[in-house]
Formats: sequence, structure tokens, C-alpha cells
Amino acid sequence: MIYRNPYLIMLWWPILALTIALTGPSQYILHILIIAGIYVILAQSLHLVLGQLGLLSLGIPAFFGIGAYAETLLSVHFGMDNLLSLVLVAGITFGSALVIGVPSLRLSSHSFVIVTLSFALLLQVIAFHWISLTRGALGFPDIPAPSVLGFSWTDKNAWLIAILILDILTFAVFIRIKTSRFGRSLAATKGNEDLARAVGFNTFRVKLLAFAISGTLAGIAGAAYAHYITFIDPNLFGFSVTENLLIMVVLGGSGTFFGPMIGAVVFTVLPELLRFSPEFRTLLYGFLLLVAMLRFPRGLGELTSRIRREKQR
Amino acid sequence: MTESILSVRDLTKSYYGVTAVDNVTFDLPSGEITGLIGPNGSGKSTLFDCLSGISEADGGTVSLYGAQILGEKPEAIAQRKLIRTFQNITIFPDLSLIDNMRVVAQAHSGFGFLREIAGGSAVRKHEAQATLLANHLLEEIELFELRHRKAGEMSYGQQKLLVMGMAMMAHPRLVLFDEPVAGVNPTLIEKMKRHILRWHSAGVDFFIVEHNLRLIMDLCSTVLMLDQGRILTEGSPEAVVNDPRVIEAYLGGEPV
Amino acid sequence: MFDPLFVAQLLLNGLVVGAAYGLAAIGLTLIFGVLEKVNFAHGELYMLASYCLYAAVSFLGLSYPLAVLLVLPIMSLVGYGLSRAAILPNMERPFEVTVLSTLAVAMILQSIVRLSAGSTPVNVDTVFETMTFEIAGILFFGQRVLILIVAVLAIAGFAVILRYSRIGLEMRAAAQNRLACQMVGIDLKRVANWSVVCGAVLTGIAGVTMAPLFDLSPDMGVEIVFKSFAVVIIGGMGSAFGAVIAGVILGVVEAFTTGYGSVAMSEALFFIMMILVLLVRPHGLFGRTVRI
Repeated sequence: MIYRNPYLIMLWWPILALTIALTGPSQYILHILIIAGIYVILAQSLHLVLGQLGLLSLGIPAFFGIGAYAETLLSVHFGMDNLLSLVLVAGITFGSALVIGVPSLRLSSHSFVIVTLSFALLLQVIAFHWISLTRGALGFPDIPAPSVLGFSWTDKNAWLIAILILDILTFAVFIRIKTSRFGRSLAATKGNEDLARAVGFNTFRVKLLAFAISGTLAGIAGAAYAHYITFIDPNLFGFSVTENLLIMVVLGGSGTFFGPMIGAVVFTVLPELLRFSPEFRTLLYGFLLLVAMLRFPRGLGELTSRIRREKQR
Repeated sequence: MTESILSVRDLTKSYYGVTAVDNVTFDLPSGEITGLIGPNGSGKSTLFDCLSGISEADGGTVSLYGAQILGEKPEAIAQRKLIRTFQNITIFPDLSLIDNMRVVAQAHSGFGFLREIAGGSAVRKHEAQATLLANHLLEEIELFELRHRKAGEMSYGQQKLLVMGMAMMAHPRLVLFDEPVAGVNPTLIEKMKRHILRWHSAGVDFFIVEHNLRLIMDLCSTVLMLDQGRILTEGSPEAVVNDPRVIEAYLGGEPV
Repeated sequence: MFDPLFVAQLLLNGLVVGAAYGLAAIGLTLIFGVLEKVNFAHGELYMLASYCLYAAVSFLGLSYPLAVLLVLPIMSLVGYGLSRAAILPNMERPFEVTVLSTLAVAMILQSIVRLSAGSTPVNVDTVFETMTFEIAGILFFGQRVLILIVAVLAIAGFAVILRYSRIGLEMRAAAQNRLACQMVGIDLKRVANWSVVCGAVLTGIAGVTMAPLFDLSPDMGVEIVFKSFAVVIIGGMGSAFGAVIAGVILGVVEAFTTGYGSVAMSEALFFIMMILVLLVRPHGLFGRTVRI
């Protein structure tokens, strides 16, 4: 059943992006595709905790920023090969996610939302004021191009391929998790946590692992972002990334496999196509989110999958 | 004297100023089915909550085959093969019936999470065994044909049956059944009785809370009566049911 | 360093700001206590009140007191709108839905303000700012004294409403048991609307009294909501009394850490205190017990 195999279905995005790239588009269009690719990773990061566990973590920017700053510092101060630094960054963000996750996940769901948001804000304050480490509000300009096993690139076509590779890896990890038995532990924890514990699951550890993997994905996205945009500043920890992500994941469909990925692409490309100013985009997103919560609390993707199931009966 | 599988000493739990469980002391004999009866509000569910780790008791000790379990988390107690079911239906509504069954076996597989993500032959083998056991149990409780349907779509009685099946998937030594037949039609109750007896003869002990005295009389060899958090009496079903204090407690409280 | 006058000055400033924090946080904790929902538009309500004040003073040329009188009814309308659009429809749904819908309203409010007033910080001047008087070597700034007086009056007024009015009783009942309220015929929609409107007005009062003190910018809501969360959590979610006490404590702590350390340290301290409370005593100082 080729059309059922998620590993093959996910290729729609790389194939689409590469097809567009092969038509010799402008640098601007390539840029949009690359940003969409970065948001695909972030959307999967949020999807893992929100869609699979129902945990509204507003702290994704925390790990995005940690990844970006860690990668920048490793590249600028140590000049190391970026495959190695990426592995280190993954380790650092995984560890940070454990540190943040252990106190946060013990709390009630209300406090969890507040605390994860606060962690991101706290990191922003730290980034602004620990000037000796982060250069404060000035940020880091001129981040060097990535260098992986001797191969370096700045060309946008090369960047697109690099990001698409990361997207495929991210999604493969996500599919693997969701279809494995651990995915069933996630479903049980989400469906009825008290029962899951009574049956024998250590649901705290289940949530912690998912949270840590989610943070690692966001950190990897941050590392890629740092090398691509070549400039980072403390605003990375701010709320605008979360705004975009919520729209992508919620409107894309947090209950489905591919919803957030579609959401990431659609909501990166569409605002650019329509030339919205950032303020107007936020306004529009606000309305879309409000309407979505009123009509489709589980996202449009859930709606379409429900329709498909009705047809199958 | 038969050895006891569960020994409870001076177990106490209060909340909101009410003493729900008051210095409860008893031994659960091994190899038997024991009943727990009492009017509503007598503390039966709270007692179960303390035994299964859902609630933190204020004092006392609980030992399961000699191991002190008071204060352990629910998942740890479940891993010790003490499985507890709940009064309100608790199943995983979005999982299929067979997945509801298999997920219980998965919790007791002993594999780490990363192992389960990676997969591999050992995991696959465990899953295959779990599927065999699940199918077998589902056939016993006559839910086999519906095994791929979502548990949330089942009727009340079917869900109550599923809960029983799920408890068995953990290979338990002791099962705490909290009102397993409440609200279930009489035909199904008879079937459930047969299942419990069959599982008991295969080596599982049960501690059953019920208002259905018929069931208690038919299944249990020993019965405990709880009233206002205290053990009023314990003994054979006939003795307890005819005890004047028990009759008064029930007439003075909720009729059965 | 430990000049008693400096300490006294810090203490006074801290009390003033703390009273405002407490006042602002009552709205948030009220909505949580009565409706069990978290209002992520809280910071933007504060910001909106400040900007409406600015608009009234700068464009309509109103004097400060008149401008305040104009802003408060606006805030109750906005509160009503927030309740109908984002909170009431989601009462029976998981609370994450309300988080997202109030976040959506926050996004809408923030972008409206940005589109109308731009992103560069603006300022509101009032006559009270120039008033200062000195007692025993401590400087009393007119506006700060006003904040304190208004905050005390507003909190007292709210306490009276909560204690003695019909709607206050209904709010307290709803905070304890929503199902029982429905059974005795309390209109939960009315209670919800009133709770949100009260919260919006109280937050608005805090916003208009504090506005002259600092620059206003459209993203000031983020900091406000963060601090309000800390106040609510430390005071105990659902306890208005706790919010006031925690607000004052945090205001004083902030004054001292800023005075002896830096602004960044005080923000970090808010966060650390919040985490500590959540780990050690998740119900905060007064959560779950006293409602008033």
C-alpha cells in the first residue's frame, strides 16, 4: 500500500520543493522554501508534545534559541566541523530540555503552559544581559557558513537541499516514534494518564522523553537557522516564533500525521505570497486562530481525517 | 493459617477534615477471593486508592507479599502485579480494544523507551506474544469480533468487560476490582462471575468491592465490611450478611 | 549602601508598584478561580488600557482624570468582548483551547495597537507626575501616591463587591462548584461575563495609573502577563487576597533587586520565585483555601 506508507507520503514536501527549485526560481523564492523547511522542523517539535501528548508547551523558542546560540558559539569560538557541532548542539538541547522538563512536567497543565512560556522569556532576558557570552542586544552577526566534513556552502540551492535532508530526518524520527510501541505509550498517556499509571506506565518519564526529543528538534532547527541567516539575537526567544507555530500546528491539524507539516509550508508561503506586513499577518493569524478554536478545536486536519473515516464506513 | 498476600495495618486517610479510612487492619488470605462491602461513603474506594498508590495514606503500613508498598507510586505498585480497576469506566477510548489490551502488556514488558522506539526482534516477539494473549482473553470475554473497534464506541457493559480483560493482561497476582458489575445487566453479570472464577482457578486472587451482595455471596470466601472508615466485621459471606451490625449499617445508610 | 533613607525609598516604591501588580493580577486570578481558565490576553488588556489613555490624552486632549473615566467603560466593553469571543464558547472544552483563543485575542489587540500607534514607544504625561513632596527625607511622587491610593480603593471596592453583592456571591459559588451552581439556577454565563469584565476593569485601572510612569510600547503586555503569572502562582491561583499579598511582596523584591542589583536580576528573581513556589508549595500562599 504505497499511498499508506507515511515514509513515502512525507516525500511530497521535498519533491515539491526540489521541483520548484529546478525551475530556476528567484533567490527570494528559494529563501521562502528554506524558511518553510526550518518551520517544518519546528512544527514537528511542537506537534510531538501538543499533538501526541496534549501538552501545550509554549517553550519551543527556548530550545530554538539555545540551539542557535550554542551552534553559533561552537562555530565562532572553536571553528569545529559542523556535523560534530550539530551533534553537540543536539546533546546540549536534549540536556536543557531535561532540565526544563523535569520541574515543568510535574505541574498541573495550567502551570505547565505558564512555566514553559516563562522559561523562554527568562532565556530572552539572560540572552539580553549576559553580554560577555551572547553579546546582548547586539547579537552575533557574520556567523560563518556551515562546514560539514570539509564541504561548505552558502548557495541557496545547497541550503535547500541541506534543510530538506534535515526535514526528512526529522519526519522519519517522528514517524518512527509514532508508529512504534512508544507511540502507543504516548497515546495511552494522552488518552487517560491516570489509567496509564494504574496499568503500570511511568507517564512522567514518557512525557519527559517526548519533551526532550521535541526540544532537540527545535535546537537543531535553531542551529540550521543560525548558519543560514548568519545573524542571531535575543529576539529568537521571543513570542513571534510561537505565534507562527501555533497557527501552523493548530490550523494544520494537531491530531494528524502530516497536518503540522502542511501547516508549516502553507503558513510560511502564503503570507509571503500575499505580501502582508508583519502586523497585519499577526492580526490575521489572531483571527484565524480565534475562529479555529471556535469551530475546529482540533484543527482542520482532524476534520478532513474524520470526513475520510466517515466515507470508509 | 493460610498465608496472606496483602497485610494492612492501621491504615488511615483523611481529607477535608473527614476520616475516610480509620485505622483499618486486615489480612487478605492468599489463594482466595475476598469481598469488601459497605454503605456508600464508607471509604471503600478510598481504601483502594491508598492500596493502589493513587492516594497517599496518612498513616499505617501495607505489605504485599512482605514488601512495604505504602507510599509507592501507582505505576510501581502495578509493576508489582497488584492491578486495580476503577469505579468509573477507565479504558483508553481512542485505542482499539486489542490495543487497550496490548498496551497493558507493553507496560510490563520491561523494555526501555528508546528500545521500544528502535524496535527490533525482541520487541516484535513480545508484541506477538501480547497479541496472542490479548486475542485469547478477548475470545474468553466474547469481544474478539470487535477487537479492532475503538474502545470509546463500546457500550457500558462491553467497556466493563474490557476493563477486566485489561487487568488480566498484566499477569496479575492480585486484582482489586472496584464495583466491576455496577450498572451491568444480569446476564452479563453471570458471565463476569464465570470469568472471575476461571481466572481465579488459574492463580489470580481478587479483592472485590461490590454492592451486589449476590455476587459477593457467590464468589467470595471471605468478606470484610467497612462502615465509616472502620472495619465492622469480617468472616464468611453468610456470617457477615446476617450480622445484625451489618444489617443496621445498611439499613441506616444506603439500601443495596 | 544600607542608607536607611535609600532603603525606605526602595520600600515605598516597591509598595506602590506592588500594589499595582496585585491589582492587575486580581483579574487573572479571578478568571482562573471562577472559570478555571487562564487568560493569556491579560497583558494586552493592560497594554490596551494604557494606550487608550494615551490616545485620550494626546489626541482627544482630555485631562488625565477624564481620560481615565473614558478608558474604564472601554475596558469593560473589551472585557465583555473577550468573554463572549474567547472564553464563554470554550467553557466546556479543554483549557488549552481557551489558552489558544485568548492568545489569539492578544495577538489581535497587539497588532491593532501596532497598526494604529506604531511600534516606537510613547509617553503619557500627567499633572501628578510633577507633584512631589518630601516627608522625613523620603521623596513622595504624586503619581506614585495616586497609584497606591487608587489601588487600595479599587481592591477594597472589589472586595466589597465580592463579599456583599449578589454577583460576588455567585462568583464565589462558581469558584467552588460549577455543577452545583447550575443545579441551583445560577446563570454561569452571567458569572463568566462579570468575572472577565471585572478582571478587565481592574487590570485597566492598574494600567492607567501606571502608564505615566513608564514608556508604553505595544509589546509591554508580554512582561505584564509574565509578572502577573508569577504573582498569581505565588499568591495562589484563584485567591484574590493572595494576589494582592504576592503582588506587594514581588513589588518590594523587584524594587530592592533593581536598586541593589539590576533590572535583569529582578526579572530572573520573579521567575526563580515562581518555580520555587511551584515545586515546594504548588498551591501558592493562599490557593485553594481563602477566596477573598
